[in-house]
Parts: sequence; C-alpha cells; structure tokens
Amino acid sequence: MTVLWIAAAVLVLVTAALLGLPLLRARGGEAASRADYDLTVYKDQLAEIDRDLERGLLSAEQAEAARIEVQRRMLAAAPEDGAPPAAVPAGGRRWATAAVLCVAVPAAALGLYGYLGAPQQPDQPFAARPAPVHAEGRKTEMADLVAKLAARMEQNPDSVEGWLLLGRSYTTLGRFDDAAAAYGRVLDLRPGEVEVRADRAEALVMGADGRIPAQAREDFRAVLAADRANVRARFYLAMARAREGDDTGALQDLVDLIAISPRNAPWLPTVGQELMRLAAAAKVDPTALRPTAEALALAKDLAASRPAPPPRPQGEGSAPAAAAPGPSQADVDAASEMSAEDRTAMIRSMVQRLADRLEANPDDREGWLRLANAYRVLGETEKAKEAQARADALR
Amino acid sequence: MIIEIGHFALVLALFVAVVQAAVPMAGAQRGDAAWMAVARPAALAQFLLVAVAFGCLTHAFVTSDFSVLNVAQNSHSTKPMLYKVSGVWGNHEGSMLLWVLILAVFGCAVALFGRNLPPGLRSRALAIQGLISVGFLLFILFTSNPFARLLPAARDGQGLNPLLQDPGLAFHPPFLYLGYVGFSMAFSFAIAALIEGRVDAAWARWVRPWTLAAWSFLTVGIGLGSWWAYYELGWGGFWFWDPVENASFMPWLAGTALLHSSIVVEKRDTMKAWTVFLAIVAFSLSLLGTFLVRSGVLTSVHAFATDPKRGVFILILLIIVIGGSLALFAWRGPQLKSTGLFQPVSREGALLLNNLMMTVGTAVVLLGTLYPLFTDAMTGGQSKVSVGAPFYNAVFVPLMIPMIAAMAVGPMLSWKRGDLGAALTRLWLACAAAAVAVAVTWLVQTGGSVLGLIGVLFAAWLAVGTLVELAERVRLFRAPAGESLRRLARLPRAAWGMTLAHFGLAVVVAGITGAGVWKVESIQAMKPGDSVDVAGYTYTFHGAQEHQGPNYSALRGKFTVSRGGEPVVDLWPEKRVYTVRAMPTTEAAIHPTFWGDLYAVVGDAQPGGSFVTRLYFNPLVGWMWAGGLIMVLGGVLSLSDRRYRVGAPTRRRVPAGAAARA
Repeated sequence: MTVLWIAAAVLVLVTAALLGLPLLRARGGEAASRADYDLTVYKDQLAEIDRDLERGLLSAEQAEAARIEVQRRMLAAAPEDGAPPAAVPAGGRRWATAAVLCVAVPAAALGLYGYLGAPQQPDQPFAARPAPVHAEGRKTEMADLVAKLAARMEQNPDSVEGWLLLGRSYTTLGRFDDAAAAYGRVLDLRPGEVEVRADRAEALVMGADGRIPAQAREDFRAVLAADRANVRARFYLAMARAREGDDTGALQDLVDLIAISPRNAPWLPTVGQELMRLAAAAKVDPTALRPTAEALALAKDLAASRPAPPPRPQGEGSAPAAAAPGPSQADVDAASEMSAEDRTAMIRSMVQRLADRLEANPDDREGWLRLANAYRVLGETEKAKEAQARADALR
Repeated sequence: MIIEIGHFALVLALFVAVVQAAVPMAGAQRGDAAWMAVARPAALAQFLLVAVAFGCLTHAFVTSDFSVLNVAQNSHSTKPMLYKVSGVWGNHEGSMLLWVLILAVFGCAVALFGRNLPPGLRSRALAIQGLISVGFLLFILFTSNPFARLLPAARDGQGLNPLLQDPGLAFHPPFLYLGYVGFSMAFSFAIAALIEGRVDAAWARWVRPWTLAAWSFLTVGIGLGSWWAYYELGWGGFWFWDPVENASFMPWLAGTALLHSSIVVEKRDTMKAWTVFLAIVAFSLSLLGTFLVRSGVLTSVHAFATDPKRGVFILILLIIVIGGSLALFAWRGPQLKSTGLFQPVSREGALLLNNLMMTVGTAVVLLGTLYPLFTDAMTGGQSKVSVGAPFYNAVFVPLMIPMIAAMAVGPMLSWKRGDLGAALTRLWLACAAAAVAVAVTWLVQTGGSVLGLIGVLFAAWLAVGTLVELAERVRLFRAPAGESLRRLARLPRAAWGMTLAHFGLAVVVAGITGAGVWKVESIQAMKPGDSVDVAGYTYTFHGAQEHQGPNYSALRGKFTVSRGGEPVVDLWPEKRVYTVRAMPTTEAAIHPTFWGDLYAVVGDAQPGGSFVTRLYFNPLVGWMWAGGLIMVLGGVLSLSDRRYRVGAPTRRRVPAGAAARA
C-alpha cells in the first residue's frame, strides 16, 4: 500500500514538473517565424543542387532551372508570412495554466484510478505462492509409472517389495481389483504377512463398492486371528455384520473397537460416525452401549505395551522397509475428511517423514524412488531430481 | 504493488495525453508560445508513464503473477522466459499497450529530435499524437484493461498458443506496430498541415523520414510474418492472402505510395493534397489493421456481438479518426495549392503512375478482405464467402505488372518533362537481360507455365534496369573507371536507397515466382528405409522417435537427403504436442540452398509403422526474404541521407509580450 502511494507520488511529481516547468520558465525572444524554418530548408535544397551539379548528377542548365524554382519558392515563403510569430504571454496566465495542470491532472488520475484500480491488492508472483497440486497431472504421471512397474514385475515376479508397491499404487489409482491381485502375489510368496492380507481384503471391499465379498471376510478373520487388535479387521467385520442385519452385533464390535483404541486415534471419528448411524437405524441409545470384558482386558494389555506415541495400525516390521512410511489406511481415511489445505499439509508432512527416515537410513533405494515420485507429484521438480539421483546412486 | 503502480501510471498517462492534445493545439491557434511549449514535455511525460506501465505489465508476466487476469489467460508458469516476455504483447490487451508505447516513443522522438521543426507544426503534430493517445488509452482502460485483477488468483495460467511460441512470431508484432504507429506520425503531420492550411517542400522533407522509418519497420514485420508462416505452419507456403496478412499489407501499399508522392511534394511542390490524402489513408488502414486483427472481427463480424462494448468503441474510434480526418481534408484540402507543373511523361508522371497502381492495389486488397465480412453481415452468417488466392492472382498480380514495368523506366526520366524514347533506349541492356532470362527459364523449366516466364521476365527487367540506372548515374564505361568509382562513392544515400529498394523488389519478385510456380510437392506414407525423389533429391526416411522438449513432447523424424548418390544433409522434422494446451504443431526441417529450400515435414503415424511425410522443394523461396532485407536496407540508407538532418534556423529575437500586444 505505502509503496504504491510513494510510487504514485513520484510519478505525479515528475509529471507535474515536466508539464509545469516549461510554462513557468518560458521566456520571450526565442521565437523564429515559420518563414525562417522554410528558408532553412530551401537553403539546404540550394546547397544540394550545388552538390548534385558538382557530382554531375545534374547538368548545368538543369541545375539552373532547379535553382530558379527553389528561389521562387523562397520569395513566395517570405512575404506571405505576415502574421507575427508566436510569443510568450505575460506571467500571470502562465502561472495560472501551470497551477491548473499540476492540480487537475493528478486529481483526475487519482479519481479514475480509484474507480478502476485495486490499490489494496498485492502482487502475487508465482514463485511466492504455495506450489499447487495438479490432480490431473498427478494421476496420468502416476499411471505411467505404475504401468512401467507392472511390466517390470512380469520379468521379476519374485520381488515382494515390488508387488507391494504395485498394490499400493493400484489402490491410489482406484484400480482395486488389480490391487487385490497384486497383494495376492505377495501373499503367495509370504502367506504370513498379516497387514498385507488386510490390505488385500480392504482392496476387495473397495472394489466391491463397499460390499464385503466372501474372500475379504475370510482374510479379515485370518488377520484378526493373528492380531486381535487389528483395527481394520475389526472395523470391516463389524460392517459385514451390519450388512447381514446383525445391528446389535455390529454395534457391539464398534464399541469394542473404540475401547481398544487410543484416545487420539485418527480412525475414531470414522468409527464414531458409523456407530451413530447404526444406532440411529437400530433405534438404540449409543451411550448405553458398553464394551465387552474381553475388549476391556485387551485394551489394558495394549495400553501397557503402547509406547508414548500411539502405534500406527500398520504392524511394526510386518511389511519390509518399503511399506513402512506409506500412508496408513487411517491416514487416508483421515485425509478424505480434510479440507484441501489440510490434506496438502498432511501429504507434505508424510513426505517429510519419509525424507527424514531416508536421511537416517540412506541405503533404501525403494524409499528414495518413492520420495522422488512424491516430490514429482507435489511439483517440486528440483527435490524430485535430487531424490532420483540418490536412488540411481544405489543401483 | 508493482502491477498497481503500472495501472496508476497508465491512468496518469491518459490525462497527460489529454493535456498534450489540448494545450499545445490551443496555444498554436492563439499564438501562445508558452502553451505550445507544453507539447514537448508532455510527449516526454507520456512516454515515461506508458513505459512504466509497460514495464510493470512485463514484470507481472515474467514473475507469472496470475492475480492479473491478462497474465492468467495468456501465460503459464512453465513457459520459457522468452515467451513469457513476448506473451506481454501476444494478446489483445498487451498488444494495445505496446501500440500506445510505440506511439509514445514516436511522440518522444519528435519532441527530442524535432528541433528543426517549425514550432507551430511541431505543436500541432504532437497535439494530434496526443489525441490519438487519448483514444487508445480510453479504449485500453475501459474495454481492454491489461491490469484488471483476478481475485482469488488463478492456480496457473492458461498458456500461450504453442503456435505462437516461436522467435519469428515473438518479434513479428513489435515490428508491425512500429510500422503501423510510424504512419501515425505522417498522419499527425498531415492533419497539422491541414489545420495550418499549408503543405510545402519543407513539410514534405519533415514527413518523409517518419514515413520511411515506418515503411522499413513494416517491411521487416511483414517479412518476419511470412517467414514464420513458411517454417511453422508446415505447408511450404508463405503468403495466404489471409485477412490478417492483408491487414498489414494494405498500410504497406499505401505507405509505399506515400513514400513516393512525398518526394514529388519536396522536389516539385505539387501533388500536395494527394500526399496528405495518402497519409490519412495509410494511417486509417493501419488502425483498421490493428483493430480488425486484434478484435477478431476478421474471422467473423459476430465478434462484435460477443463483446459489444469493445466493438462499439472500436467503431466509434474508427469513425472519428477516419471520418474526421477525411472531413477535414474535404474542407481544407482544396486550399493546398500546387505550383509545380509537369508533363505526363516525366519523373512526376512515373511516380503518379506508381501511386495509382499502389492505391488501386490497396483498394483491391481492401475489397477482398472486407467483402466476406459484408456478405456475412448481410446474410446473417448464412453464406460464408471466402476470398482467396485465385481472386488476388487474377486482380492484384495484373495490376503489379505494369507497375514493375514502369519501375525500371521511372528513375531514368527527368523531372517536369521526360524523354521516354531515350530512357527506353538506355534500357536496352535490361530488355536483353529479360529476354535471356526468359529463354533460359524456358529451357530449364519442366511443365512450362506462362506465369513463371512472366515473373522471370519482370524480375530480370527490374533488376537490370535498376542497375542500368545506377550505371548511368556514375557514367560507367562512359567516363574513366576512376571517375565512375568516385561518383559511386559520392552518390547521395537517398539514391542508394532507391537503387537497393528497387533491386530488392526484383529479388522478391523472383522469389515469389520461383516458390509460387515451380514448387515441387510430394505427400506420401513412408516406412523407415523408404526413399522418395523430390526435384532431383532423394529423401530416405529413417523412422521417427519420441523426444521430450522443455514444455512439449515431440515425434522427431529423420531423413537423409542425397543427390546423385552424394549425401546432402540430414533433416529432423518434428511434430510437437505442447502439454499445457495439448495442441500439436509441426516443426518443418528446412535446408536452405541458393536455388531453393529442401523442406520436410513428418506427420501422423499410420497403422503398419509408416508415417505421413510431406516433402517439398521450394525454388528461390529464400530470395523473397533476402529481397525484403535489401529493401529494408535501402529504406534505412535513404533515412540516413543528410537531407534529413537540416539544422534549425537562426532565431531572431522577439520581445516578450508581443502576442499580448498583437
């Protein structure tokens, strides 16, 4: 704002000085009549005829004829100009004119600018603004990468990390059936991966538009058998019960899930919402529901083993390093409810987490590749290149 | 802040322009030297303010400030810097600002270098310039404001048409505008002369350099434009009689006529009213060109309907400028008395013939350009008439033939009364050269065309005729060689200018003939390894690969060209897709040689691994631009002639307050 008014004041002052000073400084005695100017040109024309004659461009008689013509014009120019040359008027009128100009011009300009301009709006150069996330570009770019990865997996079908990455990528792209198949390949190689089984089951649910297919139910039951505290398995099995019409059972499962969850667990809002919805449908007072004794005991055990920060639902060490820093389902769930800005912030914080981990553990090539990809998606080309270089160095 | 500073500067410039238009004019009418003296500083202030505004807009483009509507619509953050800058004038609003900036530059030049101008003429001319500025600034601020804000700011810009992302086109509009706006100087001087009621040799001498400068710039602009069309559009053509091209060609024709008639005013004190009329016409056509191209009216009159505010403003401005100046001309024109008399066969007569042909040519192009608009408007868009090359070939080309025929003779005639017989006798060499050229062409050309022979005939006639005139001037072979050389060295630069410009036109005519008549074209599907013969050259195709550019992806083909088994050159044509607008462009691969260009374009992939390829041989096409450059060189040389450096008169003292007493 201030800068604008200072700049405007400078422009106004310069303009006023340029317009006003010649009026004030004008003096008499400098005027030449129009005839003088004409005569200067005619004299120059005469000189030119002489030069042409000397060069031989004109013959002597041609030059003479031309000279007579110019001289006739000179004679015609002189007496015709009876009017006196322009003169400088007395000081008062000049001062008045200067004053009017120096006041009226800036005033009019300010008035019109006030009508047209937006003086309170600052510049917004592109570099100074937060980098935008291009949803479209991100998707196509990722689809390309995923297609390449899939082709590579055909050559190298024994890579657990590869299938895992492919499954996650398909999930991100919304190709849930492909994702489930990719997770299935991991399970063929390592049937004991509990979290991967949960991933596959979840992909099957997503692919079935929220219905819980038989395979998914089987998977979730297996997961729950191996890990009693598995949030996803408990949640989806509860949903499956609700679908079967067992509202009471579903409500009990949800209440148990809440009981074993830490207070600030990110999935609590979602679970709570489902609880309210089911309770309303079944006409049950949700506040009257109590967790089972089994759940309370489990909660006690978990609280004892829980380190200060709440555990991420992703089991520690269940998937290899490549999987660990990825967004958990809970993160994704939480993200889906956030505003655009919050989501961007969350994505950034996750990417930062990955970057920090990799600084501590720089030999993780897959990690660098994912970081490069993440930066690319966020539009931070420089950082993406850097991460890519780190990954390439590990090849 | 910077963008708002620019906006304020532009608003301030409007009111300075009002002062520049009103105060000096009133001063000149009342004989008030102090008021007249306001003209020069006002022109200076005008220039400074518009330059600040233009600089601020450029800053917004360079920093990709998408809170500015114009930047958001026409730029993109990933564009290369060169095209961010050229994007400033690559759109309607910015180009109007450039127009006003150039107008201010010319006004400032008159203020700074016009000391030898009579104060009355200078004040009035600058006042008219101010008036034009007022019109344009009002138009910009109220209908096409480049500083309009977009809040909240756009995420990113909508990019620039990738066709326009090309150095040829980046610098084409500024040159065109330098030409268009340059004619505004001639116009301002013409209006000032009409108000003063006098046009004399001195006036012509002051108008001519401005016209010459404008003409040279316009020639460069048109040349760049056709060159761009040649290598970017990928059809091997260079001039399409497109309305946009015609819009720049019409002021050029009128300006060329003005250039020649102002010589007559200066040397012979005649054809005054006609010259003033031409100045008005040249500028009116420039205005028409500026607006018609930028407003989109040329593609359809309905552009007026989609943006009525802008369209109505343009109409009013055109009516005021063109109608007003022609009315003034009708009123004051008859007072312009001519003194010089001349015979039909004389230098003046030849220049008059040139003027006649040029103006009729202009009228033909104007008719061809506007006719489709009229029918479109009359029938409510029911019938779309397009006027293309056949019309111009049938009407415009025959008009130019007698003009070029007379062009070689004109400079040989003397002022007042010429001897046609003697001039033609001295041109026997040109006749012979033309005959030889036609005979050689006849033997060489296959699939003979009369048009080609005519083109060669007149190109040779004009080129040799121009050289004969030069030889005459220096008495080549009639005086000792040393004497001729001395004369050559001391020839006035204006004479050199004429010789070069006329010779350049001969080269242009040869180029147009060659590329227009003898173009060899071959379109086919080629698989890697296939060969095609085009005009004696064998093109072998080696396939096409994907290739990634800074903001586009491309399909790049490879050809090796050989002639009689000898390798000539490798050509790498591209077909690009610019990611932002997903718009494909062709990048022709061109190998220029003296006798013609090898020109290759790669097109879409076909099933079965083949590609559509277009191969051309464009004979003499490079001569066209070389000739254009020679013409511009002639214009610049003529501009530097010492005639235009006439000093200011010695001043005589007049006591202060003389006007008050008078």
